[in-house]
Amino acid sequence: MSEVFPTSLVSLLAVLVPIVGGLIVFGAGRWERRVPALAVVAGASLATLAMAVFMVRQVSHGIEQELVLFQLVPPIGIVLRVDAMGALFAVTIAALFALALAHAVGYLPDDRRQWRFHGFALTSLGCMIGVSLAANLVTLLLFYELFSLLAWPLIVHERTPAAFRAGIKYLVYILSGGALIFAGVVLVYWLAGSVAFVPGGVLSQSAPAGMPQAGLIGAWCLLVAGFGVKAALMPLHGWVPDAHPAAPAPFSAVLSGVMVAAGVFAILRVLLEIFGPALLVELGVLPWLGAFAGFAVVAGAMLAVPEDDLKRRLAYSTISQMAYVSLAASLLHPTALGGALVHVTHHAFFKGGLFFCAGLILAVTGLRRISRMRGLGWRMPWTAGTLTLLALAMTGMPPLSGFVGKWTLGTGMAQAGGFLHLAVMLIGSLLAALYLWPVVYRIWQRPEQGDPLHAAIDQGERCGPRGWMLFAVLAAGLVTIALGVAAGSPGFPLELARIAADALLGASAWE
Amino acid sequence: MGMTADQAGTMLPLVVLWPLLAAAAGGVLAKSGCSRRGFDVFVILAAGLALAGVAGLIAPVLAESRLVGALPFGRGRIEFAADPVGVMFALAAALVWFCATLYATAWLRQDAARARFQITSLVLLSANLGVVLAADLITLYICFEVLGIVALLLVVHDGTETARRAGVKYFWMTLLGGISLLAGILLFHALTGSIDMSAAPRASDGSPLMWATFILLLVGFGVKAGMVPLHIWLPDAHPVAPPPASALLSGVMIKTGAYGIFRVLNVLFSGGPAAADQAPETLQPWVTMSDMGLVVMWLGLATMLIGVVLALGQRQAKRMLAWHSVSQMGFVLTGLGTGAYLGADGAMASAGGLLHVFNHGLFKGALFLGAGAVAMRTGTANMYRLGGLWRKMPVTFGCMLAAAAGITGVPLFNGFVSKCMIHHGLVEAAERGGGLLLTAEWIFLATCAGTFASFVKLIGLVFVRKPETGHDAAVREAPAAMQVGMLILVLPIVVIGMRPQWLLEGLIAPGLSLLGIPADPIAYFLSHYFLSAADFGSFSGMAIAGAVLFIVGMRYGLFHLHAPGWVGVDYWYRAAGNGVLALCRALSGNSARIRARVSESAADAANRLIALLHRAERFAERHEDRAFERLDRLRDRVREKAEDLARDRADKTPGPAHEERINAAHWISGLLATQLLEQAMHSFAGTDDREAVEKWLSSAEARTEDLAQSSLEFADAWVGGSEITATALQSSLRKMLPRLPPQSDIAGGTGRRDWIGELGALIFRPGEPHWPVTESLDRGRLAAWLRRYLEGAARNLDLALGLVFALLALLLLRLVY
Repeated sequence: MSEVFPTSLVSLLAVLVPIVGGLIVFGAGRWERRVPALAVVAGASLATLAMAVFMVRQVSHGIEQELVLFQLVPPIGIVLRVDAMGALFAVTIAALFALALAHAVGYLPDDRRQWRFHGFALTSLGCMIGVSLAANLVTLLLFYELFSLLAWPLIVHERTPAAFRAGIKYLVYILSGGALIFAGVVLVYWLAGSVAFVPGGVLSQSAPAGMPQAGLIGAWCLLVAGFGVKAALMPLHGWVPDAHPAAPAPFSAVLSGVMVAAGVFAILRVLLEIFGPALLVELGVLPWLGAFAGFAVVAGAMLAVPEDDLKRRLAYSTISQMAYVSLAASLLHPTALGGALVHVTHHAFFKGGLFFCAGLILAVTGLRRISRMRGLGWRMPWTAGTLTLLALAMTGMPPLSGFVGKWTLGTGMAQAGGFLHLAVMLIGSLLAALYLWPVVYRIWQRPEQGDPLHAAIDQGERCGPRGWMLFAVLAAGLVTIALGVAAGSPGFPLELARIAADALLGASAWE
Repeated sequence: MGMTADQAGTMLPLVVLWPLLAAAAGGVLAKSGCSRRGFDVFVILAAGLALAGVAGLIAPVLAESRLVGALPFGRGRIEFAADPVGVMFALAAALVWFCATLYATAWLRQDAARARFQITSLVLLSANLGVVLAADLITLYICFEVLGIVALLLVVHDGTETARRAGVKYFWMTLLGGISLLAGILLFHALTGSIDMSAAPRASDGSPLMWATFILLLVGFGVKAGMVPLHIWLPDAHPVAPPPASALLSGVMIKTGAYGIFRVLNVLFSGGPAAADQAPETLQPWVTMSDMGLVVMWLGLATMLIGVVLALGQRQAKRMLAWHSVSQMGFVLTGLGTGAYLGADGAMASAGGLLHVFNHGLFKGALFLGAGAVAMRTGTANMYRLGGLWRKMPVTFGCMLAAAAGITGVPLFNGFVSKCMIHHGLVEAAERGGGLLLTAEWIFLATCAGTFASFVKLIGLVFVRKPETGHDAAVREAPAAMQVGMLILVLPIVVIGMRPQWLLEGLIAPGLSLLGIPADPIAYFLSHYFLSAADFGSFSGMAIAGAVLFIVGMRYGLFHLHAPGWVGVDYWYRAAGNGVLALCRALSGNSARIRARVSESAADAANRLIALLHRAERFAERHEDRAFERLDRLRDRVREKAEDLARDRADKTPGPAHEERINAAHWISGLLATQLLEQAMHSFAGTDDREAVEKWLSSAEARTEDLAQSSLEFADAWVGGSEITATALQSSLRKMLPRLPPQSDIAGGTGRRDWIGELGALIFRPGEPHWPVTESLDRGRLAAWLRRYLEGAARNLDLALGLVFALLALLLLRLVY
């Protein structure tokens, strides 16, 4: 067991604070103490964010720390480690959760049940931070299963039949995925004798030569398929388009922004730190991953096009956008990988922001369907303006954040010679415009005479959007602008992604 | 300007960003309730300062030849660089922008969205300067995209349906172009490892990858430049914008496309400086550049011809001018392409193309502004309805006449110079290449004749001929600001026509020699060809042909023949777009169907498995459970449908009591469907006539809409104040649905699926309702307890916690053993 530095305890605190905060909120909600409960929610989420930022600062100064909590079954322990990739993901999670919790204060009716939502959300925040900081597969699996299950009450929070149906579907998918992962972990342990994440791949390094090929491929399939359920890799995406519209909007944002990304994150860990580039090339499995991901990019976006429910459309878009990451990972090029990591963070904010907008629109006007949103922009100019901005970011319009990810991904793909990958990615962003443009067009269309929306505008009646939700929407918009305009600043995703990609794949040829 | 190079380098980003800062300040100003006059003065000053800033760059750029200025930005930098060619583009942009801004203050006097227009325009000026002064491809791309997308606001400024439709087309073409450009830049980066735009020699190995890069870049810039066959957005988008915006779109913004193509040919894939006397193997880049030039040249020739043919057929002055923009961009592209084709000898054609960029900005800007002034005073832009305006609007007439002389290439006006240069370039190219290239000159001359005819038509119909209908006496000269705007544009038309060397030798020749293209042919042109008898001769021939074309065309109505839709590329773009949409819909529909089928067969398989595990006869008893599940689902559907209907009504008819009605529809439909469920389950409890049950259920399901409708009627009644009784609901149900199957004598089966079976069915059939609660489930003590617990837990949402603990325990167990 390594020596414990005081600062390494931050990683433990970042996991524990939200969990404890969540438990307190359960209690405070039960006794209907609004102000203390609100204070705990705000305090816990902001403290987590602060700790994540602290970890980011440490990582960008080149400090990596490991903290062994306890030995579960020697030699397998629950170990937390702060590396660049994990810190970047942790800060993304913490920031998006903070916005979502603020949005939820406005979105949910002010009653006892909202504290249940906040409680579950905070505990799952802690577990997700645990996923991002996990230093071995077992720790990852532990936190991963925990947050997956804690997400269930959040999905069914509205207790409609549709929500319950979606919830059951979610559980079945996730539990089956979890079973596959577990089998994969056992197989990896059997093959390598260790489940630790090691840059270069624990299977490449610690295992004796002559490992059974079938076992390796089996482990790869199990792990990628298992995490692929969460990552919405195309044939395994069934729960995504049902769970997103059913969940309350702030949680849809989190679900799309970071929970699906957690699956992708886990796949990256497995690919780069369990198998390792050399072994992956030897096994020849990467083209398969690329093919599945490429299919998901195009088909997910195509499925989004005819969808009329805004949240469902956004859910399909998540499938497409998150597949960019797997697509890039299948090339094993440092720049492409860096682009993928940047894209995960940037996507979290613009997609989360879009869900916040959808939630705000739903709460204020009761509209879910895009075809009915005609003229909405003139009624809710701030929301609609932000929605337009975020949509532009998603299509990769410079200088917004979406462009930075797309540019870096594209540079990497072109450098690695993946011209087909590049074409798929660009077709994906063309299709992104195809499913987002109608939304923007519709909301800025002048409402017809006799339309109740029109009447509302004539009377100068502006529906006052609820403050908390509008705050979350505008904050997401500002973050999207800032991440794009100041992408090159120290401590921003681009720099962290570069450190991470360098550590995982060797020095890169960055601009 | 007493600036050192360093100072000028520092100034460079400021020159680009100044309009953006001014736009931000303008936004604040407009919000703070500044007077209209104050705001106008502010924007005119902002545009004027931008013009002064660009003009101030000329001297340091000529001294330094390439000026680099970076804006520190986080850890990276945004780099701008000015070379003479870039400065020439920037100068044209700032000049036209200043005039259009001045003009717009008068044009937008009545417009509520005045501030939005001017602020957008300033942002666009910044982006435009950014494109032509970018030091690397990424800066260029960022500015190019901002320019393209933000200009959409100008296109749809009027908010009419036509404007929207043009805006949609504009958006899609811009987006396609943007993605193609991005792909091209990424490939170029992969190819050469650099995105710098200075004139270092490039890898031009003639590989397929290099050609793909070239094509992608050409498409990206070609969309903006209105190059055939990517021009379709231009004739729609330019006329619908307000005239000052049209002047900017046509006069300046499309030039960024030409700028890009110039850089692609002469920098990105150029042969490099002084390659003429090198070893043969280093000539490959020149061969490549020459081939690329040929491609651009032919596309340019096609563009100029198609543009002019379609321009001749227009009635609306602005639409005609827009088609001429396509055609004139064809001249520019032909010049640039011919220059690249001729390689080291191509300076004259390239210079002609570049000069034409400047010239076209001036005269097309003036023409759009003049056409706008006419439309403003007469209320129509249809040339055939106007006439005799030269008396009433003398200044506008004078400006339009000078601008028309410029665009048709009358000697002593600016278009003459650039067209002659391109012409000489084409003749040289024909001498070198022979073959098909011999026709190029004829295409060029035919286009010139067409342009001449077209502008005789414009000036003749609008200003000179006797008016057919008596004009409103109220028609008078345009406001002063508009006149000044036009006059400032017209002045340089004449100056350049007389003294082209100021631009040619001042900016263009140093620019070209900086890029490694010997500039001697320009000097040769000025001393030997400029205003030579031969050029006068070809002008007069062209003018005579144009006049004949005009007379014949007007007499026989040749200008209004219309080809069927499928001849135009527009038709095919539309077809492709609709095809993609149809494909998406088909995929969505099919995937839903496949998904349903798969989940159904999976459910069947699961049931069969459960049946195997728990004795076949028990499985057979499941029909009651199925019936319950179906009815339960029906209940949900009825409730959703009823709510939907109520909301629909609320959306359509404004009025009070919506919320109340929606709520009432919600609970009444629930009540109705529950009644239905209870009656049906009661009846099914004893029957074993499975077919009758099936039939009844299907017919009930087919009536979902009716049930919802009837609930809504009840809801209306309830909102109206009447009572809802159970008997009323039941009688309505009886009326709507067929009779329930009769109960049989034999009592229902006793064996039921046990709780394991239920749980299995639940897990394997995710599509089913969340919790089947039939009365007739297994009543074993353990099963009953567990079910009660799970039901309660699910209701309280504590199931998750229970499952979490169970799974945690399981996980720990698995890990320990």
